[in-house]
Amino acid sequence: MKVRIRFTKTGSMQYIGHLDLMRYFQKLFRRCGFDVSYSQGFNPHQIMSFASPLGLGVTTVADYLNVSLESYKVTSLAGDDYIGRTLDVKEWIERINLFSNEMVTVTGIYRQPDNAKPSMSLLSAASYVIYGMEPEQAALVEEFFNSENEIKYEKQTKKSVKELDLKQGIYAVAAGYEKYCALAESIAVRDNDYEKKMAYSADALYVLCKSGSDVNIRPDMFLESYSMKTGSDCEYNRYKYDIVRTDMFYGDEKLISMSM
Amino acid sequence: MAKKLALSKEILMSVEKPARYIGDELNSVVKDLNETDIRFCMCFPDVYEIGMSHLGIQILYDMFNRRSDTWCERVYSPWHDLDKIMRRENIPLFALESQDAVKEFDFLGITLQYEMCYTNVLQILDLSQIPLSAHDRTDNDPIVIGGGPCSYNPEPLHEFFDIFYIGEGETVYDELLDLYKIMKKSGYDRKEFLKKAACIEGLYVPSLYEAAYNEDGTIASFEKKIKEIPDKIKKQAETDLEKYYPDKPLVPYIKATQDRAVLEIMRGCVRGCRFCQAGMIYRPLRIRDVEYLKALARKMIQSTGYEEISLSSLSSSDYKHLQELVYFLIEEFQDKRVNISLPSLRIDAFSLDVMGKVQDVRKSSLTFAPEAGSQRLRNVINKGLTEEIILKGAKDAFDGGWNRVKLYFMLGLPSETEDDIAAIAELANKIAAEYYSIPKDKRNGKVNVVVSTSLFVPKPFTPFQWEAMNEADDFTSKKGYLMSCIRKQLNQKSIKYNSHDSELSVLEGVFARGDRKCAQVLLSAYRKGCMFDAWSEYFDADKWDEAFEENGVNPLFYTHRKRGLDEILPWDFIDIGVTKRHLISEYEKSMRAETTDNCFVNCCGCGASVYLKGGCKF
Repeated sequence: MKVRIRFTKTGSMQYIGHLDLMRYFQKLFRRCGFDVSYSQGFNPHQIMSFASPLGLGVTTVADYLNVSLESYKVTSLAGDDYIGRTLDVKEWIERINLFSNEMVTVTGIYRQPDNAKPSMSLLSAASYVIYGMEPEQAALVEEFFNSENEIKYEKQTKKSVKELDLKQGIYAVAAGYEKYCALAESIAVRDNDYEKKMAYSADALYVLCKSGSDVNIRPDMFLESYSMKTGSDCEYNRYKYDIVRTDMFYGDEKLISMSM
Repeated sequence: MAKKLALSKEILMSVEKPARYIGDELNSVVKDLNETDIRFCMCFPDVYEIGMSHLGIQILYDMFNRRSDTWCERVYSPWHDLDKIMRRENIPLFALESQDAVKEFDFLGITLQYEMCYTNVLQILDLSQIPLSAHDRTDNDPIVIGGGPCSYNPEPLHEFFDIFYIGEGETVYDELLDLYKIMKKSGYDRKEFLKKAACIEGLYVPSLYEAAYNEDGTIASFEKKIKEIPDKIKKQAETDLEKYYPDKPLVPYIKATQDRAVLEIMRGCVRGCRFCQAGMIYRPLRIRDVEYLKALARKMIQSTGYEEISLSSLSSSDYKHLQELVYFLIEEFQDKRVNISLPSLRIDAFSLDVMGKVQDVRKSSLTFAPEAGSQRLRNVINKGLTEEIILKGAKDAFDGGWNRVKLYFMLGLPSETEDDIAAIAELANKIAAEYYSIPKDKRNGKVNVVVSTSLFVPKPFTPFQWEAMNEADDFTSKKGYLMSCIRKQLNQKSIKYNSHDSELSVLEGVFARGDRKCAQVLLSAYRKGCMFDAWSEYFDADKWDEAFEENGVNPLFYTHRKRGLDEILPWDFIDIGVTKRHLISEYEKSMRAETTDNCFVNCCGCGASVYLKGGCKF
């Protein structure tokens, strides 16, 4: 049985790298007795994959990971009297969070068809909110995005430098949450109830961009191009802003939240 | 809500592995400061991943935090990258849990596990903005306590610590903390507190004792300065091993060196190897109940989610319920996908059976620690392993499909000759030959024998504490000679040779048996930038040479000098239970290559049984 899990990673957990986060989930699932399937072979490991690794220093309120489950029963690894009980999704979310810290929490478990592709290969876009910018500056950034025909960014890869056009890779840049909702309306199907719960700031900067294995745009690339082009910030300081990933999407014509 | 961190995002993002500095690990303890009286910061003076692998701190962390009036937190050595930033920006060193400055604490406890961490101790004090010298500290500074195996000769560090706790932490810390609490409430004075602390059994306050030296540099006298305190410090040994053990150990976010649950099955060792300090200072042998361990193992796996559990002791094969325990762990855990990591066991039918069950035979290797190549030298060091046992064990293992063997030896042991070194190569060759005696169709590819040598460093409280240690050049030529002997062997292609750095071992030798004069050398070396000396890439021998020279201290005085049996040794004021008479007798027997039975076979009357009511009962 395949499920997709939506989770948060906030606060000081932003300093925990991707592999360590994976190890964190493995231990967490074992402690609460989540019945994750194991691979075969001499060194079996939990069958688990993430939609997209999150960079160090970035937090998220909606990332996704896929796991294969044997059942919804609490395994004998758990140390309490829940062993053997079958829990529903809501109960599992509560139980997992009881065993986790406050910064990594599960906020959704979604059953997937057996032939479902991994989230990683479905991923097409991600949305972000950027804190730490005055509203006037956010407006300038938005204006910059809308007025440029081309926004070049040189991406350093292991072997070469790749030139990207961020204008092509970014769907929307909006100063303020209301504006973002208006812009995103026609592009993406979002989880509105969840966004309401997260209570995003009215005047932060919002970015919706392509994400995935083909084109992977990050908001810090855009901020860097902005400051280089406008010279407003002489040198881009990547630690000045707090970047939060707010959701991940699949689909091309219309983006759909991974939670749907 | 996100908790406050001592370091800014900019700093955390610019250092390697920022997770070392954020705390918040699973099972870490956070308390309300309004409800606690005492703040204790426990320190392992090396990098986080090493410190987090240390069992002793986990035991004491749990023990302290069981007291409702005490909050124990942790700190480790900031790595080079952060060290530079903290100095530049004048950021005081902070404890992980609260992220508060260490200098605000009541106590800073530093565990001393190896001599090469001594410069890191100074780094910790310096970054904490605590005066390095105990004399310069005021009532507002934490009480700095040292503990762990190196505190059995605390003298090279005497200047930097207020108190040394000699022995196992479980026994008198409560007494010390209670005393502190009472004095805090009725007008605290640091000097007065230290005087009273010095009256508690097992606690050594170096500032209250005085050493005088002869012209030749040896100790003329070692006396207490005030009447009320004891002449000798009695080592502490816990007799109730079921009183404290963390069933919810801390689990780091990043991979620690020991990324598993650890079950300490025994303390102490019956073997009596004459080079081994742990074998003497942790006497007498104390055993944990097997049912207690089974329950503990289950709880630890539940509370951590670890996928591996290992057993810890000085000689696990001597644990009488080992079979029962190991088969229980296999049965209990194998279908839960918990790996059992075995300690190095004596190779016999049982150990081969469990190794076959818990490891991939093709990937795992056998380990033997003969320590010396020839039987004569093994008798000298009282290592009761014979060539026959080794070859038989290897043969059985090869028949079972193994093809990798690791062999551990020491170079520079007392009375060692070229023949003893050549015997190492010959033994390795015989093991390889044993493999090739198996018919070809039953072999599993080539055999792989790895010989590793460390360099013998005489340690306090061992029968070899009077012995001369080799010089760095001796070690280098011995390593070269061993290499040439290996190359002459028939199966030399199957033998690989690894060895330790000589200069590092010589420095270890100085501080292991150093006296108070070494403190200034340490300080000079630290001032020159020495830190993380245990990390060979950061060890700077030239700076150390300068530090010795500037202070007029000759390192050879400590390493290359054979002491007389009547010389006052820097650590003679410590009573570890094992008597000096016993050490001398063992030393003399070693010179005649005579062996001593282990405690199970025959009591050698070492003296450590005083710790047990009614003596040792094996």
